[in-house]
Amino acid sequence: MSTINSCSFSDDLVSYLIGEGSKEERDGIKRHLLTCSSCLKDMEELQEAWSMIPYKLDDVEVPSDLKEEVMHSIFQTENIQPKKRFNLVKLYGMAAAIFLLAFASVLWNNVILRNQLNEVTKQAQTPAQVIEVFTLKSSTPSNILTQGKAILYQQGEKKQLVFQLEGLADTKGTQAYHVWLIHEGERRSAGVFHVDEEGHGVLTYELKETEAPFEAIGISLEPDANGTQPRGQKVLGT
Amino acid sequence: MQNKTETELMLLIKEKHRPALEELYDRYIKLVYSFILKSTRDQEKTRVIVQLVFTRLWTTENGYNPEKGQFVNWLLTVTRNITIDYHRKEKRDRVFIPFKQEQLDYIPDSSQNDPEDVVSRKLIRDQVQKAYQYLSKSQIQLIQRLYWEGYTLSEIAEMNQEPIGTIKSRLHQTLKILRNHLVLDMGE
Repeated sequence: MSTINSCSFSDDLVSYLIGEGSKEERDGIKRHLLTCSSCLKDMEELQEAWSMIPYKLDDVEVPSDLKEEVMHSIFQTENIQPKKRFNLVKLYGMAAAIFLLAFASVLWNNVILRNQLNEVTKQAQTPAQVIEVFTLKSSTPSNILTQGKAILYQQGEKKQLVFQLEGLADTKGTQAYHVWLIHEGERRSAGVFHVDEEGHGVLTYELKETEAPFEAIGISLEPDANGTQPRGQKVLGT
Repeated sequence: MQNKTETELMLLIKEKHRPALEELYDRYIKLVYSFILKSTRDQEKTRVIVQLVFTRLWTTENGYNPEKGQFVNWLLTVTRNITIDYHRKEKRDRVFIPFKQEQLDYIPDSSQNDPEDVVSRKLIRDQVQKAYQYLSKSQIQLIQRLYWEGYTLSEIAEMNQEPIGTIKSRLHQTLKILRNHLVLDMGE
């Protein structure tokens, strides 16, 4: 069991083995190993022994909670950190967007409110002028108590229709009276109403500037207030 | 997952496949843990370093290359590098000890006598244990400081107040004794 190599490089092999020494020293040993077979053999054996050292380990119990701790730490950094950053950006963005929206809507409301106030002021000072009065008669000629009026008037630039009706039967359940404006055979809704115990009904309808004109008015009793076209029986008309 | 080789597992890990990492953990935690505990002799530090090792496995770009030897040796090299790095940082906090990074990068890796499974690892361990009986106190101490604690040869020379040539010679002898007894006992 000879442990000492006759070669002068012998002890420097261990520096090379464990990765110590300068680059020059290491290169020198590398070159030497190419030519000296006894050092090469020595080197191989030293390497074998060096790689065996970690096997001298005692049997130890690994703490059972370690795996969870390790995995948790790895995957928490993996998943949450980038997500967190992303969420923060998103959060800031959303907060900014909400703030802008809120700000814009406050501004907008302000403008609208001002316009409305202006209009109300203007309206109060503008006299209303009747344009046309429509007389509404019962579809059943014998029923002379059922009648009504529709008054179209203008106030400033605003056109409104006011309906006054009487002698109408009380509605049952979801039933409602429905007012239709008729233009070239087409009917469009002008609103729905119920009547009081004495059969009185009232309704106002604002005509938009862009709205098509109408030639006739019809009122029907509908099964509910949701229809867009008459389904029920006609009760009044021009 | 259990039928996969270490090379396959490492490829899956590169693709961020969590079950592959968990499988590697299950296969090697005992070895890695014992290794670090042997080096640190401190359970809390061992936990911290185990964490570092598996985080490194998860994030490493230059993964395991099967052409360069057995996976277990690569894993032990990584584990030792990280452990020694940890020791050195700790030491640096106490006293300044200069060291070169490339010393950590170069860890020899023998492709011979690589254990294939736990059983053969256990066998080798028993052999190494036996071989240790032939070492003197100063030789065991040298291995402890050099291999397990990551001191350099010159640092050990300074600690022992001995010439560095003496340390080198001692290491040479120590490794030779280990190797010869391993070979003898394994019936070569």
